[in-house]
Amino acid sequence: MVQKPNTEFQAKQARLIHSIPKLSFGKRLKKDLKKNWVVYVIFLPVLLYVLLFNYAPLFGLVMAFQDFNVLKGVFGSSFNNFANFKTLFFRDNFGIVLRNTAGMALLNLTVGFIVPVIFALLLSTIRHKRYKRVIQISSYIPYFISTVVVVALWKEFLDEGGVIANFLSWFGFRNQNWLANNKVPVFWLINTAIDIWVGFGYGAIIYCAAIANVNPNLHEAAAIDGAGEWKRMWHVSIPSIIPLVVTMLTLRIGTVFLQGFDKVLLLYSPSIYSTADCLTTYIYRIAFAGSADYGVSTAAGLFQSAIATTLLIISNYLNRKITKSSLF
Amino acid sequence: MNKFSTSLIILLFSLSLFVLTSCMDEEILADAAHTYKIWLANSEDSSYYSDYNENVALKYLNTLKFKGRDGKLHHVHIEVETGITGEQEKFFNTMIATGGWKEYDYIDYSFSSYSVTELYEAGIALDLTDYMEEWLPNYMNWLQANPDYARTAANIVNGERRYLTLYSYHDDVENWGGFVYRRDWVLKYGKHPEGSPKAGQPFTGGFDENGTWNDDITFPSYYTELGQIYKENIDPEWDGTCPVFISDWEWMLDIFSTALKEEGITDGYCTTIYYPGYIGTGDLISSFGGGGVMFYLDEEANEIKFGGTSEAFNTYIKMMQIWYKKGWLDKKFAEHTSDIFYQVDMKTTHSGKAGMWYSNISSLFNRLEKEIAPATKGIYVVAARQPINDVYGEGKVKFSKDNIFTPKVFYNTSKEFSGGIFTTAFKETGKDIECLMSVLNFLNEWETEDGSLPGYLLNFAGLTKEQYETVAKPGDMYDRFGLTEGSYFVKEDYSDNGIKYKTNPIIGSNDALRNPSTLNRIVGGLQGPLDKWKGEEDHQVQHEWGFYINSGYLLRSFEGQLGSNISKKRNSTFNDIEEYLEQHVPMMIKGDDATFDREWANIKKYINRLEYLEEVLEVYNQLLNDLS
Repeated sequence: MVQKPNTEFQAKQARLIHSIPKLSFGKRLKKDLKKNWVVYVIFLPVLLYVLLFNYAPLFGLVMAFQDFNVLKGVFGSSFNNFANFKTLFFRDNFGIVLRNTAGMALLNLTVGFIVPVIFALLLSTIRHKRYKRVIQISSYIPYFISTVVVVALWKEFLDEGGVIANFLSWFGFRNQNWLANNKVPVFWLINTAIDIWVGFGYGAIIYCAAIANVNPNLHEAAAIDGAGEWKRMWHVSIPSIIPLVVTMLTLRIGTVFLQGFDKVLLLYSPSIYSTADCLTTYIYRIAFAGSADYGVSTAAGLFQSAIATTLLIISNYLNRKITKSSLF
Repeated sequence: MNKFSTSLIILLFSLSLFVLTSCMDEEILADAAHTYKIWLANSEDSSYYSDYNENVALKYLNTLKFKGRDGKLHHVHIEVETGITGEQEKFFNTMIATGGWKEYDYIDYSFSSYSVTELYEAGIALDLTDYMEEWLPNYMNWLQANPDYARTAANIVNGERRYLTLYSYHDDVENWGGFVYRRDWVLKYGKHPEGSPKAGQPFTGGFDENGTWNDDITFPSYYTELGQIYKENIDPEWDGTCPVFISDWEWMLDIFSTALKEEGITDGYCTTIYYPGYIGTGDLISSFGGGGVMFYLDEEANEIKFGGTSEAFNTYIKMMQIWYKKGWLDKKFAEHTSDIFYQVDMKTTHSGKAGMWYSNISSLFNRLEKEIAPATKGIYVVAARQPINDVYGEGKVKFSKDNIFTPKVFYNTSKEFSGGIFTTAFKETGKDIECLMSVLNFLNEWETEDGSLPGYLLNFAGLTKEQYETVAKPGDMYDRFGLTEGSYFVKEDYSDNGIKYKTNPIIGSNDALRNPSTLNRIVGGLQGPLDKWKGEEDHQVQHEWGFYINSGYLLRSFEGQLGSNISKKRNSTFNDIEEYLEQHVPMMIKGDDATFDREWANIKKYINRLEYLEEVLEVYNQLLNDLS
């Protein structure tokens, strides 16, 4: 039986709220501080952290508009308007870098994103608890291995005569060092494969939790109606976790252009820059290689953040349109 | 008091005692004003020590007294921090950017992205001009004796000569690296129309006990007209026993190809090259009559030129492409990206599976022979001078009777190699910076009036037995590597061919021990050969690697003259070119002729479009004229 809303009660409550004299923000804050001071004290380190490490560095963005000289500092360097952006956009390899970043991002967003979801769904179908636990724990392990070690392992796997190179040779591919192959999309696939290997287990935790929280009555009802394992997954589990999946996708879209720096930096080499160089490594090289051009590097970083923000806003908008829920 | 409390007190007491004894272990004799911190770009392998402050020669230096600002002698304590290999440039730039330089009194300038003039203008580098005569007289004496280096030792700031950097100089060039080849394979598998060497003959050569060279290899060019032109015009003493032309090298590479087959080596190669497909310092490229890849000095024209789009570079890449096609060049050369140019793919070269490569002296003669690597059995590796092109291209890039030239731009053979700057941090800390200058002056001391050992020996040779005994500790580097008799010996009687200071034979046979046992890493000190004529083998090495004069290399002190604006443009141009070439040259080498032409056109187009190249060249040449 569906309960009717108690409209009389709600109206009374609203009248009561409106009858309270409205305090100014300062007074309300003071009152709240007095009442909940413990909560504010606990929150203080977080606030400081965010201010110090997330907001204060934003000041450095001014370098993107300066002919920045480290020796003169931000206050001593002259402004050059958008010259750094011009330099960045007209560099020969900028287009290639952008293409590579987009290519890797796309693969990460599609293949890379969906694998943990599928894994979580498959895991939910396993009935043998101990077996399920072993599988799940095994899938986490790569996440806790240092990127340097992960990269070293994959370098061995992908080298001529390595496990993967040998495996691929069975399918007619030349046995070669795949990390020296500068054909599109070899490196992009390698990058995505490593991302999946490292993160699919850990990334599946949140989906496993969501699946576990699906009302068992729904599964029970579906089973009574004759739905098998797969049908229940399709008609019960997936619809139940869709809002979460979409939220995660939205979050992922916002950061997809920023990911993979350490891994790509350790994997790539000059001979495959044409397919492996991405925005983060490019920014790193501009800033820390011989030229140490912090102005152009900051401009590139700002450009990257602008793209990420734009993507986030678009995906949030689409999210709201499609699922009627959004992050902000 | 219960058991727990008692145990806790004992534990705390033990810990305190441990901390105290650890502190007492290193007695610091100097006061705060004479305690200095310096940053060095390079350190040692952790097999010698993990912290440069464990360097025994440094410990000895810290026991000495030096003249300070007040004219009195003071103990000094020098604490050293070092860079991480491959990260030095980043660290240096960050240190400058964040103000971290203020922690240091003296900084190794080798990896700076900024010219020293910039660092001076920014108030970081101390102007040493007024200190030089009084506090660094030994350094000035050396410069007076070497006017070629004195010319760029000071910077022109606002029209005045200012000493801003203290450079490390080597009183006599001692080459440590160059091309090497397996002479045993040449003798064993080589076959020459004249009958020498005899194919299949086991290697019996090398230097015998009397120091006489003993084998019968004569390189083919010796019998040619060009060979005779070379002999008449370049090396009258050349007897054909060492390779001098590209044709000689190709003759060898062909032999190495046979050798690999005969020895059943499937994972080796005839030769390899640095991963970009070229060595940026110009080795092998200036074999084609031009300079290096980047900026170089054409001494005859007294002009600084750019070599990246030159015919010489193009012909060099063409040669590499042909070598690659013929199977002489390592198929995976572009993959060894983490290797240094003088240690490319040591896994292969040091296991006796390569015919020719670029190396330091650790590969020479039979030093690589070891039981665990069967391919090194009977190995005999010999140094080779830069070859001259007599095969590829036409005109200026090819040696002929009308076009006689020698390679002029390659690594090594420069007396100047790195520099350091005194920071202005002492103005805030009040440290006695003059006393630190006295230390550096001591490390530049070439001779003494009272017959005591000159300071350059501590810098370059390390410690004598007597010196070592004053700081010796069980388990220190000298102890672990058998140098307890000292890293060098003083010969009182000059009986050994006039040698006064002789390197400990342990270092003689393992040169890698030299740096860890000396203060060589401290830039700004003077270096010099100890026993110039160590033996015929070393003589051969120095003769070959140092045969041509590297006149085209732009000295660090010359580059350091650039002002801030042009320095940034120069660095940006340099990096853009380097990055582009690193991507495209390997493609040219590994590609077909169509790829070669297309990529070369791309390279030229890219370089010619660079905004600042012409401007940088112009400033370079202006600077050259000013300094002339």
